[in-house]
Amino acid sequence: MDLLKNFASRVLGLDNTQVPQKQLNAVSELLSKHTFNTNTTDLKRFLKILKKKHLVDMICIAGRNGSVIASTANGNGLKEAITGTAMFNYINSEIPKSETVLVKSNEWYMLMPYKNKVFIVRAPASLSTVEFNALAKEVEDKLSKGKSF
Amino acid sequence: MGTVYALASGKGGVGKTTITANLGISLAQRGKKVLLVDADIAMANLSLLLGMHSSPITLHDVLLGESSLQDAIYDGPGGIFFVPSGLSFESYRRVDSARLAGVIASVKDQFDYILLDAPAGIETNVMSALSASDNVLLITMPVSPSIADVLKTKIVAERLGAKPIGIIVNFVRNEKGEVLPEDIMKMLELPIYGLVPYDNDIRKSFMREKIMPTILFKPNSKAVAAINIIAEKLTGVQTTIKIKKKGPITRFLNKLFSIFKRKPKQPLEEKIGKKRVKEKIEESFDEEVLPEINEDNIEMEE
Repeated sequence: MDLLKNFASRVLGLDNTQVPQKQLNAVSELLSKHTFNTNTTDLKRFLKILKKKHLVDMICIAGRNGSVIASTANGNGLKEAITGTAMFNYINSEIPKSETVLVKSNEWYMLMPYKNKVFIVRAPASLSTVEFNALAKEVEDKLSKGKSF
Repeated sequence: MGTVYALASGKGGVGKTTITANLGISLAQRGKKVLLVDADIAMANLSLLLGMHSSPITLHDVLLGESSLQDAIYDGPGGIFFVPSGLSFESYRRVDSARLAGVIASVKDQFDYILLDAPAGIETNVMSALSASDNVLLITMPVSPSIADVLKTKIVAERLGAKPIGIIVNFVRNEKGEVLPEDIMKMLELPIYGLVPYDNDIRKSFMREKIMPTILFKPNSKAVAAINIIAEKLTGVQTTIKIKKKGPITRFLNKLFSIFKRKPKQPLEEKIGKKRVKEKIEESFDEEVLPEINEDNIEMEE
């Protein structure tokens, strides 16, 4: 039956479908816009690429005592590091099992401890903890690989 | 140590769950120890397809920290092991899917393959499934909306550190308007792992008193043959995906058939020329098409 149907549709030219080429061209461009080469030895540049890759506005990595490890904030990120770690340490003292702190303002501020560091991120919308973890892991991998930073 | 594969798509309804179930059983039939996990925490239906929807302990309980994953692993059909997801709304609201990666890692060394049936979309639950996997198999239909969505899933997977390894094209009908596999490969920059044809036997597998994966009740169906090739590819057997190219006989037949084909309607511009079309449009504006609006033909409502 299928064979007859296929035969008939071929003879009668019933398959009038067409590949929507313009749509596909638009789709193809999408991938090139989201390809990020994080293979750089310059930490500042690496963080700038990560900002674009993870769609965040600012990344600041601080030690648990408030010292700045790296930052994309204007200036050297000292203010973000001190207030961020102070806020996280305070909340962690009140709720010892705190994994992430989310602050909703005009933008979102997110704080997360990862391997003895506090990651402070400012983003236009809230990140999920899975995304935040991926960002922190990527930074940590880079920091542990390139001790020269 | 087993390998965790997430089967993801972006768009819903492309056949993720069906392929996950059948692929898992196909791998088990090749002597592999396979765990299927219904990672679609909100819209779980792998358990329905496997006929195991009344399991007392589910992934919800595990993610809530109320049970261990070992207690949520059941013997499934065709020699697989299966972790169902709960169907309840209440537990879904309380579940933290971010724990999935840790939960899956705890049983990785007990299985050869762990297949995660990821939800559609790119929301948190999907991200959790992607980040819990080592490799991602992207499933798409050969049409542009599905490819656009799967592309986004690929971008998200890469952002999360997961590794998309290949594409499974489902519902292949070989129609003229379908995007060709080689174009899909180019667009997604990934190899094709399988071309699964549209098969009525798959649809019919849902329309039985006892639902079961097609591989068990119609093992000789076209779609199952394609899924078996994917399983072979995953187990390291050298297989080649045959992408049909028109041979000399097909080309000859197409030419022959084209004599009988109805000619598509010619666009007006081609028929009478651009200039004449312009004149025709202008003529139509000159004619009085709309009635004149005046006080007599307007009804005022108070």
